[in-house]
Amino acid sequence: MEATASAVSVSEPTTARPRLLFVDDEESILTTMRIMFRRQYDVLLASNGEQALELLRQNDVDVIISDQRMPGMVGVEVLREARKIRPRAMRILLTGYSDFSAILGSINDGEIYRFVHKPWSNADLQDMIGQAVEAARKLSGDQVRLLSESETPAEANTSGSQPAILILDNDMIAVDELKRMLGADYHLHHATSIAAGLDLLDKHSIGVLIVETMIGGESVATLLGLLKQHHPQVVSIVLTHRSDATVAIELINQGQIFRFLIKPTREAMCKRSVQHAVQRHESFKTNPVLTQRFKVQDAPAAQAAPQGMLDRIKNLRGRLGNWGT
Amino acid sequence: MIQRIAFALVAGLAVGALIYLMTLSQTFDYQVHNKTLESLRQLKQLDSRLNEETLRARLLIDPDSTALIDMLPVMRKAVDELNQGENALAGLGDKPLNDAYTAYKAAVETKLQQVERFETDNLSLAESIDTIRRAGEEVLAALPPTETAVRQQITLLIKEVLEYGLLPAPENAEKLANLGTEMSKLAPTLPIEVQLQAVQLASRPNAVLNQRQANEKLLGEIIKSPTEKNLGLVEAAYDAVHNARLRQAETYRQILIAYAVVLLLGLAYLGWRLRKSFIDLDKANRQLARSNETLEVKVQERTQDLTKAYAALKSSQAQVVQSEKMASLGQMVAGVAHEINTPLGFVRSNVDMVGGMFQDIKRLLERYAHTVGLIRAPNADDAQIAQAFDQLTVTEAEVDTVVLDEAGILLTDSVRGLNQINDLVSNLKDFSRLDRSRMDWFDINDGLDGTLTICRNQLKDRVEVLKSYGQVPQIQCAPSQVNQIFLNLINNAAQAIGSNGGQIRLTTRATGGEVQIVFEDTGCGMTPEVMAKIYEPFFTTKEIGKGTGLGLSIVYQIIEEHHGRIDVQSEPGKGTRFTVTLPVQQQAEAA
Repeated sequence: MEATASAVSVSEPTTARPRLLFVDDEESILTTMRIMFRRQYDVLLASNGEQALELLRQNDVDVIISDQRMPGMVGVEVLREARKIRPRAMRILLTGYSDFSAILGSINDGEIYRFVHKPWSNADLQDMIGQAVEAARKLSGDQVRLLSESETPAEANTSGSQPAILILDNDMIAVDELKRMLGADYHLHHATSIAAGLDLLDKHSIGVLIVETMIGGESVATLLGLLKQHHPQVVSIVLTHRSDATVAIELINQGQIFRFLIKPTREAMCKRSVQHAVQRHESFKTNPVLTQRFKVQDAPAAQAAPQGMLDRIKNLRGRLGNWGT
Repeated sequence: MIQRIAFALVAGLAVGALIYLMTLSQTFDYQVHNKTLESLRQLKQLDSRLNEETLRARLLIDPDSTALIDMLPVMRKAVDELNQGENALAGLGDKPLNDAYTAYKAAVETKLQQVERFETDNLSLAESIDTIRRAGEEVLAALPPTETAVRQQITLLIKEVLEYGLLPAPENAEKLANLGTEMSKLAPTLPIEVQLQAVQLASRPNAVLNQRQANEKLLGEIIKSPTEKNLGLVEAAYDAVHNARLRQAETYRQILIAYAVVLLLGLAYLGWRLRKSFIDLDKANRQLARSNETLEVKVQERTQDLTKAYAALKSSQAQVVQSEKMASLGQMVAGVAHEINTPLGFVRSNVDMVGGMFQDIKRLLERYAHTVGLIRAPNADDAQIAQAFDQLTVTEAEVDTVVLDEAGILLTDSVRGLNQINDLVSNLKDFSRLDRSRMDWFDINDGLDGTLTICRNQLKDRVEVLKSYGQVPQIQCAPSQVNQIFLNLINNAAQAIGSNGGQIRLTTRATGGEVQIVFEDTGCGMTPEVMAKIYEPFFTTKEIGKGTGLGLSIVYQIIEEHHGRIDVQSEPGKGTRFTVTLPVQQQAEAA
């Protein structure tokens, strides 16, 4: 399948039509995508990673959608490389097969914006692409670079006050371990229920959240989603026993979690993740516009959130700031 | 080894020391000693005899006797013998002894020489006396018988001389001297014919006297000769030496005894150790005998244990095979699920989109219908028609007619996608028949095709599959298992080919009562070392976590259970060929 190389050279994203790149080894998928999106967008197609990267070098795109299972380069690899070439483009992974370790890798390295299951719903896909384009265009390429950790290695605690970290988990062994690893460098709070967590969020200026996927029987997805919506500068790290791809995908899509770590985590990995999370939080505080890139999907769960929680989150005082959508 | 040599050396030294000490303590040969003593005693006797004979010779009893002279060589010989041969005194190495001997020998020599002279003198004395006698007798004969006084004198002279010869007492000497003087006085009175003789006769006694005196002197020296004393010294010296040697020998004997005691103690110790080790050996032997008895029992127990363990192992092997099948099945199912999701994805999308397009087309057609209807209608209003045409134009602009072509494409794709799904599902059904050893008739070409469909995702762009199916009869086998063989070998081939791309050729043929399926690939091949191990359970050339290493061992088992065989040829860098041969019919014992 040849790429429809429209003779559009690298141009200003804000003026031209948004451009999408689809990568899949299955022709029929590319066909259906092309027909679905050609009215509104410029559509580029590639049947493998190499072709995709070549197209990216020659064309600026807003959104890249790639299949995971392809011969040669798999999707996460393609997206990882794509990030280097076009950091501004939003990256979406199409996955029909839950290859969990690859997904985990992509979350923790590649900053996947969204995951899409095969088979998908066209309406949902179109909405998602729309949001992605919007998010892509909120920031310039330079602004996006600010987010990249490699550009800001040790910028950490220049703003004087270290942000506090909230640990939300009732696995006391893990909590003690975290306290041991991080207690020296950071201010730690701990809650064993979502309600208690919200109390702490109320009282303290918390920048980073380390959560389990289930607290006292409740899923944290809703909490994370709401937080991201109303207080997007809080950066969330998930630290969990459950190596479940579905959960990870849900949390990315609904909570735009920053990292997904499996217990027991190696100390170096944990510390590094926390440090990057803090840096991200600092970037958000300095440049609130950056949070525009990390909007969450309006998942049904968010709407069905208990009104109490919604209100509480909306009204969180403390120094979280108020960035309502 | 060195220990042994050292030990031998020490033993040799010990024995040598023993022998040395023994010889030292026995350098005393009693025979020799006695002989020496005998010689000494003999010499003493000889000396006495010499003295006796000398005295006897002095008495002139038997002047012709050679007894004295005969003794001389005997004595010399005896003295020499003392220092000759084994008994040699000089051999004892004792200076005082040697000096004593030398002195003795010299003294003996002197004495013997004196004795010789004495003998000679004695003979001449006897001669002289005899001469006097004859002379006297002659004179007597010549003398007239009248001269009785003279006759008496001569007879007296003769008698005195003879007596003096026997017994040289000093009064005799005087008498003889007087007689001589007298005779000389008488001589001139005698007839002329006897005067000379008478004068001679008169002078003779003095000569005899002188001779005798000299003889006596010599005799005195002989008697006084220190030979006895010297012999005594020799004896004493010899005794001293002898005693010293006795003492030495005694000392050595004591040392020997001590040494022997030490050796004996050492030997006793060794003996004790030996005995101890014999005891240990006995004990060990007894233990051995006992354990031997219990060994049989233990072996029996162990055999039972082993038999049980073996049975358990076999059953868990079966379980492992099953779970490996399940695992690979799981992997395959996951792969198939993905496979299904892809066509499902685009079919759903396509149908959705065609639905939307359909709406658009419906709208357009409605517009057309409406417009045509108005045209057809008898009471058509131009304005209405114009309006309808305007609306139609608008709608036409909205609905891109390319949509029709696109809808066609989407529907064609969708049909294809649905067929894919159909194939996958039916293959899945075929494949997952888990009843293990149910034999059934099976077309291997179909089986290969089915497996290929399942693997399609793996193979897709990288691998070109060439099929050379021959005319093959159906075979009696457990289809799910044989499918597993195919899946395994095709997967391996695809993995060997890797991302470089290559070919897999599948060939089937019938030979006699068997069918052969050949799986050839242009992959990385195997070295002979790897080839030797591929059927070993858990042997894999993949990275950790990427393969159980059980695939080929299960394949091997399945083929064995079907009484088939599998061959492999490979060349590193070129490719690999697996040839699976299965009988068309199984024997009656198919479970």
